[in-house]
Amino acid sequence: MTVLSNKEKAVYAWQFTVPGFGEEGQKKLKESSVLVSRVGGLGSVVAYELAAAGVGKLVLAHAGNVKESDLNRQLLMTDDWLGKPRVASARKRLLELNPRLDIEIIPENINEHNAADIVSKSDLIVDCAPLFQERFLMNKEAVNQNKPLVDCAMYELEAQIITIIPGESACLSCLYPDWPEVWKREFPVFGAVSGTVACLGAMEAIKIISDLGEPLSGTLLTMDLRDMSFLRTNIKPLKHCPVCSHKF
Amino acid sequence: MQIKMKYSAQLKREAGISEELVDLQPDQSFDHLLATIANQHSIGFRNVIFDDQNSRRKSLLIIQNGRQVNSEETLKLNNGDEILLMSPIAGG
Repeated sequence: MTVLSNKEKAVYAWQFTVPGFGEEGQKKLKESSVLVSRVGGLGSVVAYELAAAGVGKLVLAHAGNVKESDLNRQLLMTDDWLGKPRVASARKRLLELNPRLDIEIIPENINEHNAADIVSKSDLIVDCAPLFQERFLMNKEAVNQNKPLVDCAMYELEAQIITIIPGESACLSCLYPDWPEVWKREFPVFGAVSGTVACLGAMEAIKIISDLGEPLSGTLLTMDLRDMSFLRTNIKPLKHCPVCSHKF
Repeated sequence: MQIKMKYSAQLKREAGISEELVDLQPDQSFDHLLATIANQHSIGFRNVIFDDQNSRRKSLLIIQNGRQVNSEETLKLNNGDEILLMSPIAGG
Protein backbone atom coordinates (compact mmCIF):
# COMPACT_ATOMS: atom_id res chain seq x y z
CA MET A 1 0.00 0.00 0.00
CA THR A 2 1.34 3.40 -0.97
CA VAL A 3 2.10 5.70 1.94
CA LEU A 4 2.82 9.39 1.70
CA SER A 5 5.75 10.65 3.74
CA ASN A 6 5.47 13.69 5.97
CA LYS A 7 7.55 15.56 3.40
CA GLU A 8 5.14 14.62 0.61
CA LYS A 9 2.14 15.59 2.71
CA ALA A 10 3.72 18.98 3.27
CA VAL A 11 4.66 19.53 -0.37
CA TYR A 12 1.27 18.52 -1.77
CA ALA A 13 -0.91 19.96 0.99
CA TRP A 14 -2.55 22.50 -1.29
CA GLN A 15 -3.66 19.75 -3.68
CA PHE A 16 -5.26 17.64 -0.96
CA THR A 17 -8.04 20.17 -0.57
CA VAL A 18 -9.13 19.93 -4.20
CA PRO A 19 -12.59 18.30 -4.09
CA GLY A 20 -12.47 14.80 -5.55
CA PHE A 21 -8.69 14.53 -5.23
CA GLY A 22 -7.48 14.40 -1.62
CA GLU A 23 -4.79 12.14 -0.22
CA GLU A 24 -6.08 9.20 -2.24
CA GLY A 25 -5.56 11.11 -5.47
CA GLN A 26 -2.04 11.96 -4.38
CA LYS A 27 -1.30 8.30 -3.72
CA LYS A 28 -2.52 7.42 -7.22
CA LEU A 29 -0.17 10.01 -8.69
CA LYS A 30 2.71 8.63 -6.65
CA GLU A 31 1.99 5.11 -7.92
CA SER A 32 1.81 6.21 -11.54
CA SER A 33 4.28 6.46 -14.38
CA VAL A 34 3.97 8.76 -17.38
CA LEU A 35 5.83 8.77 -20.68
CA VAL A 36 6.52 12.22 -22.11
CA SER A 37 7.88 12.26 -25.63
CA ARG A 38 9.56 14.57 -26.48
CA VAL A 39 10.57 17.11 -23.80
CA GLY A 40 10.63 20.16 -26.07
CA GLY A 41 8.25 23.10 -25.97
CA LEU A 42 5.32 20.94 -24.96
CA GLY A 43 7.02 18.10 -23.13
CA SER A 44 9.22 20.30 -20.94
CA VAL A 45 6.19 21.94 -19.38
CA VAL A 46 4.17 18.72 -19.21
CA ALA A 47 7.04 17.01 -17.38
CA TYR A 48 7.59 19.98 -15.06
CA GLU A 49 3.92 20.14 -14.06
CA LEU A 50 3.74 16.39 -13.49
CA ALA A 51 6.92 16.48 -11.43
CA ALA A 52 5.49 19.32 -9.36
CA ALA A 53 2.20 17.47 -8.89
CA GLY A 54 3.94 14.38 -7.53
CA VAL A 55 3.76 11.77 -10.27
CA GLY A 56 5.90 8.84 -9.16
CA LYS A 57 7.86 8.16 -12.31
CA LEU A 58 8.51 10.02 -15.55
CA VAL A 59 9.88 8.36 -18.67
CA LEU A 60 11.40 11.02 -20.92
CA ALA A 61 12.31 10.23 -24.52
CA HIS A 62 14.10 12.81 -26.63
CA ALA A 63 17.20 12.62 -28.81
CA GLY A 64 19.76 15.30 -29.45
CA ASN A 65 21.52 18.13 -27.70
CA VAL A 66 20.27 21.50 -26.54
CA LYS A 67 20.38 24.18 -29.27
CA GLU A 68 19.99 27.93 -28.98
CA SER A 69 16.72 27.79 -30.94
CA ASP A 70 15.26 25.50 -28.24
CA LEU A 71 15.46 28.10 -25.52
CA ASN A 72 12.38 30.18 -26.37
CA ARG A 73 10.07 27.33 -25.34
CA GLN A 74 11.89 24.23 -24.05
CA LEU A 75 11.81 25.27 -20.42
CA LEU A 76 13.82 22.34 -19.08
CA MET A 77 16.77 23.39 -21.24
CA THR A 78 19.16 26.07 -20.07
CA ASP A 79 21.78 28.24 -21.70
CA ASP A 80 24.58 26.59 -19.75
CA TRP A 81 23.55 23.21 -21.21
CA LEU A 82 23.96 24.16 -24.89
CA GLY A 83 25.48 21.29 -26.83
CA LYS A 84 24.70 18.73 -24.12
CA PRO A 85 21.92 16.09 -24.18
CA ARG A 86 18.39 17.43 -23.78
CA VAL A 87 17.18 14.57 -21.59
CA ALA A 88 20.06 15.09 -19.16
CA SER A 89 19.14 18.76 -18.85
CA ALA A 90 15.51 17.79 -18.32
CA ARG A 91 16.43 15.26 -15.63
CA LYS A 92 18.65 17.76 -13.82
CA ARG A 93 16.00 20.47 -13.68
CA LEU A 94 13.17 18.13 -12.71
CA LEU A 95 15.16 16.72 -9.81
CA GLU A 96 15.92 20.23 -8.60
CA LEU A 97 12.16 20.69 -8.32
CA ASN A 98 11.30 17.22 -7.04
CA PRO A 99 14.20 15.08 -5.79
CA ARG A 100 11.78 12.26 -4.92
CA LEU A 101 10.91 11.76 -8.57
CA ASP A 102 11.95 8.56 -10.36
CA ILE A 103 13.09 9.55 -13.85
CA GLU A 104 14.09 7.28 -16.70
CA ILE A 105 15.71 9.15 -19.54
CA ILE A 106 15.92 7.73 -23.05
CA PRO A 107 18.10 9.74 -25.44
CA GLU A 108 16.06 8.63 -28.45
CA ASN A 109 12.99 9.81 -30.27
CA ILE A 110 10.15 7.36 -30.77
CA ASN A 111 10.67 5.14 -33.81
CA GLU A 112 9.27 1.88 -35.15
CA HIS A 113 11.94 -0.12 -33.34
CA ASN A 114 11.57 1.34 -29.85
CA ALA A 115 7.92 2.48 -29.69
CA ALA A 116 6.43 -0.68 -28.16
CA ASP A 117 9.12 -0.94 -25.51
CA ILE A 118 9.09 2.73 -24.52
CA VAL A 119 5.28 2.89 -24.34
CA SER A 120 5.29 -0.26 -22.17
CA LYS A 121 7.31 1.55 -19.50
CA SER A 122 4.45 3.81 -18.38
CA ASP A 123 0.77 3.86 -17.42
CA LEU A 124 -0.08 6.88 -19.57
CA ILE A 125 1.48 8.69 -22.52
CA VAL A 126 1.62 12.41 -23.20
CA ASP A 127 2.42 12.83 -26.87
CA CYS A 128 4.50 15.97 -27.38
CA ALA A 129 6.35 14.99 -30.55
CA PRO A 130 6.80 17.39 -33.47
CA LEU A 131 6.51 14.71 -36.15
CA PHE A 132 3.51 12.65 -37.16
CA GLN A 133 5.70 9.56 -37.55
CA GLU A 134 6.27 9.55 -33.81
CA ARG A 135 2.69 10.51 -33.01
CA PHE A 136 1.17 7.69 -35.04
CA LEU A 137 3.58 5.16 -33.53
CA MET A 138 2.71 6.20 -29.98
CA ASN A 139 -0.99 6.19 -30.83
CA LYS A 140 -0.81 2.67 -32.24
CA GLU A 141 1.12 1.34 -29.25
CA ALA A 142 -1.12 3.12 -26.77
CA VAL A 143 -4.17 1.50 -28.37
CA ASN A 144 -2.50 -1.92 -28.54
CA GLN A 145 -1.40 -1.71 -24.91
CA ASN A 146 -4.69 -0.19 -23.70
CA LYS A 147 -3.08 2.93 -22.31
CA PRO A 148 -4.53 6.42 -22.32
CA LEU A 149 -2.75 8.94 -24.50
CA VAL A 150 -2.97 12.71 -24.28
CA ASP A 151 -2.08 14.33 -27.59
CA CYS A 152 -0.98 17.98 -27.52
CA ALA A 153 -0.05 20.09 -30.54
CA MET A 154 0.47 23.72 -31.48
CA TYR A 155 1.13 25.97 -34.42
CA GLU A 156 1.81 29.70 -34.26
CA LEU A 157 -0.72 31.02 -31.70
CA GLU A 158 -3.04 28.05 -32.10
CA ALA A 159 -3.03 24.80 -30.16
CA GLN A 160 -5.10 21.68 -29.67
CA ILE A 161 -5.42 18.75 -27.31
CA ILE A 162 -7.32 15.49 -27.37
CA THR A 163 -7.32 12.56 -24.99
CA ILE A 164 -7.48 9.06 -26.38
CA ILE A 165 -8.90 6.28 -24.22
CA PRO A 166 -8.59 3.00 -26.17
CA GLY A 167 -11.96 1.34 -26.72
CA GLU A 168 -13.79 4.44 -25.55
CA SER A 169 -12.85 7.28 -27.86
CA ALA A 170 -11.45 8.06 -31.30
CA CYS A 171 -7.70 7.63 -31.75
CA LEU A 172 -5.20 9.78 -33.62
CA SER A 173 -5.69 7.72 -36.79
CA CYS A 174 -9.42 8.45 -36.62
CA LEU A 175 -8.57 12.14 -36.41
CA TYR A 176 -6.02 11.95 -39.24
CA PRO A 177 -6.82 8.92 -41.44
CA ASP A 178 -4.11 9.69 -43.98
CA TRP A 179 -0.60 10.97 -43.75
CA PRO A 180 -0.57 14.73 -43.01
CA GLU A 181 2.28 15.36 -45.42
CA VAL A 182 1.64 19.10 -45.43
CA TRP A 183 2.98 19.35 -41.89
CA LYS A 184 6.47 20.83 -41.75
CA ARG A 185 9.08 20.07 -39.10
CA GLU A 186 9.76 23.74 -38.36
CA PHE A 187 6.81 25.90 -37.46
CA PRO A 188 6.20 29.29 -35.89
CA VAL A 189 5.48 29.23 -32.17
CA PHE A 190 5.81 31.10 -28.90
CA GLY A 191 6.82 29.27 -25.75
CA ALA A 192 3.76 30.64 -24.02
CA VAL A 193 1.57 28.86 -26.58
CA SER A 194 3.25 25.47 -26.13
CA GLY A 195 3.24 26.08 -22.38
CA THR A 196 -0.49 26.77 -22.37
CA VAL A 197 -1.48 23.55 -24.07
CA ALA A 198 1.20 21.65 -22.15
CA CYS A 199 -0.41 22.68 -18.84
CA LEU A 200 -3.73 21.40 -20.18
CA GLY A 201 -2.02 18.15 -21.16
CA ALA A 202 -0.52 17.74 -17.71
CA MET A 203 -3.94 18.41 -16.17
CA GLU A 204 -5.49 15.75 -18.39
CA ALA A 205 -2.86 13.26 -17.21
CA ILE A 206 -3.47 14.15 -13.55
CA LYS A 207 -7.25 13.80 -14.02
CA ILE A 208 -7.01 10.40 -15.69
CA ILE A 209 -4.58 9.01 -13.13
CA SER A 210 -6.52 10.26 -10.12
CA ASP A 211 -10.07 9.78 -11.49
CA LEU A 212 -10.70 13.50 -11.19
CA GLY A 213 -13.20 15.39 -13.34
CA GLU A 214 -13.87 14.54 -16.98
CA PRO A 215 -11.00 14.09 -19.41
CA LEU A 216 -11.27 15.24 -23.02
CA SER A 217 -11.94 11.68 -24.13
CA GLY A 218 -13.03 11.90 -27.78
CA THR A 219 -13.20 15.67 -27.60
CA LEU A 220 -10.80 17.87 -29.52
CA LEU A 221 -10.20 21.15 -27.73
CA THR A 222 -8.77 23.77 -30.06
CA MET A 223 -7.71 27.25 -29.12
CA ASP A 224 -6.52 30.39 -30.87
CA LEU A 225 -4.63 32.57 -28.44
CA ARG A 226 -4.73 35.55 -30.83
CA ASP A 227 -8.31 36.16 -29.72
CA MET A 228 -8.51 33.63 -26.86
CA SER A 229 -11.21 31.61 -28.60
CA PHE A 230 -11.71 28.01 -27.54
CA LEU A 231 -13.72 25.32 -29.32
CA ARG A 232 -14.72 21.80 -28.29
CA THR A 233 -15.51 19.32 -31.06
CA ASN A 234 -16.62 15.74 -30.61
CA ILE A 235 -14.46 13.42 -32.73
CA LYS A 236 -16.15 10.20 -33.76
CA PRO A 237 -14.20 6.93 -34.02
CA LEU A 238 -13.90 5.77 -37.62
CA LYS A 239 -15.76 2.52 -38.27
CA HIS A 240 -12.86 1.31 -40.36
CA CYS A 241 -9.94 2.77 -38.43
CA PRO A 242 -6.97 0.41 -39.01
CA VAL A 243 -5.65 1.14 -35.51
CA CYS A 244 -8.57 1.19 -33.09
CA SER A 245 -11.77 -0.14 -34.73
CA HIS A 246 -11.17 -3.62 -33.26
CA LYS A 247 -11.51 -2.10 -29.78
CA PHE A 248 -15.18 -1.18 -30.28
CA MET B 1 -26.62 29.88 -51.01
CA GLN B 2 -24.01 31.48 -48.83
CA ILE B 3 -21.44 29.56 -46.76
CA LYS B 4 -19.24 31.02 -44.05
CA MET B 5 -15.78 29.49 -44.25
CA LYS B 6 -13.35 29.54 -41.34
CA TYR B 7 -9.70 28.45 -41.47
CA SER B 8 -7.15 27.44 -38.86
CA ALA B 9 -3.38 26.93 -38.63
CA GLN B 10 -1.61 26.52 -41.98
CA LEU B 11 -4.78 27.20 -43.95
CA LYS B 12 -5.29 30.48 -42.15
CA ARG B 13 -1.68 31.42 -42.71
CA GLU B 14 -1.85 30.60 -46.43
CA ALA B 15 -5.17 32.39 -46.90
CA GLY B 16 -4.11 35.42 -44.90
CA ILE B 17 -7.62 35.54 -43.45
CA SER B 18 -9.42 33.50 -40.84
CA GLU B 19 -12.86 33.54 -42.43
CA GLU B 20 -14.77 34.53 -45.56
CA LEU B 21 -18.19 34.22 -47.15
CA VAL B 22 -18.57 32.08 -50.27
CA ASP B 23 -21.57 32.24 -52.60
CA LEU B 24 -22.66 29.03 -54.32
CA GLN B 25 -25.60 27.85 -56.40
CA PRO B 26 -28.18 25.96 -54.30
CA ASP B 27 -27.30 22.55 -55.72
CA GLN B 28 -23.52 22.89 -55.61
CA SER B 29 -21.55 20.34 -53.59
CA PHE B 30 -18.97 20.48 -50.85
CA ASP B 31 -16.31 19.40 -53.34
CA HIS B 32 -17.29 22.36 -55.51
CA LEU B 33 -16.96 24.62 -52.48
CA LEU B 34 -13.44 23.34 -51.79
CA ALA B 35 -12.44 23.81 -55.42
CA THR B 36 -13.84 27.34 -55.33
CA ILE B 37 -11.86 28.41 -52.30
CA ALA B 38 -8.73 26.63 -53.55
CA ASN B 39 -8.90 28.71 -56.72
CA GLN B 40 -9.25 31.92 -54.71
CA HIS B 41 -6.10 31.42 -52.63
CA SER B 42 -2.43 30.45 -52.95
CA ILE B 43 -1.00 27.18 -54.20
CA GLY B 44 0.06 26.52 -50.61
CA PHE B 45 -3.57 26.79 -49.54
CA ARG B 46 -4.61 24.36 -52.28
CA ASN B 47 -1.89 21.91 -51.24
CA VAL B 48 -3.23 21.73 -47.71
CA ILE B 49 -6.65 20.75 -49.05
CA PHE B 50 -5.81 18.60 -52.08
CA ASP B 51 -3.08 16.05 -52.78
CA ASP B 52 -1.13 15.63 -56.03
CA GLN B 53 -4.02 13.64 -57.54
CA ASN B 54 -6.40 16.49 -56.69
CA SER B 55 -8.16 14.36 -54.08
CA ARG B 56 -9.24 15.94 -50.82
CA ARG B 57 -6.81 15.11 -48.03
CA LYS B 58 -8.41 13.02 -45.29
CA SER B 59 -6.18 14.67 -42.71
CA LEU B 60 -8.12 17.88 -43.22
CA LEU B 61 -10.54 18.24 -40.30
CA ILE B 62 -13.97 19.45 -41.35
CA ILE B 63 -16.40 20.94 -38.85
CA GLN B 64 -19.88 21.80 -40.11
CA ASN B 65 -21.88 23.99 -37.73
CA GLY B 66 -19.86 22.69 -34.79
CA ARG B 67 -20.09 19.02 -35.76
CA GLN B 68 -17.22 17.00 -37.21
CA VAL B 69 -17.82 15.45 -40.61
CA ASN B 70 -15.31 12.63 -40.86
CA SER B 71 -13.89 10.85 -43.90
CA GLU B 72 -16.59 8.13 -43.77
CA GLU B 73 -19.40 10.68 -44.03
CA THR B 74 -20.79 12.87 -46.80
CA LEU B 75 -21.23 16.56 -46.19
CA LYS B 76 -24.38 18.16 -47.60
CA LEU B 77 -24.31 21.94 -47.71
CA ASN B 78 -27.15 24.16 -46.57
CA ASN B 79 -27.57 27.90 -46.92
CA GLY B 80 -26.00 29.67 -43.95
CA ASP B 81 -23.69 26.81 -43.00
CA GLU B 82 -20.49 27.58 -41.15
CA ILE B 83 -17.65 25.29 -42.23
CA LEU B 84 -14.40 25.24 -40.29
CA LEU B 85 -11.40 23.66 -42.03
CA MET B 86 -8.55 22.69 -39.72
CA SER B 87 -5.21 21.67 -41.12
CA PRO B 88 -3.29 19.04 -39.14
CA ILE B 89 -0.82 20.29 -36.55
CA ALA B 90 1.78 18.42 -34.52
CA GLY B 91 4.04 21.05 -33.06
CA GLY B 92 6.08 19.67 -30.21
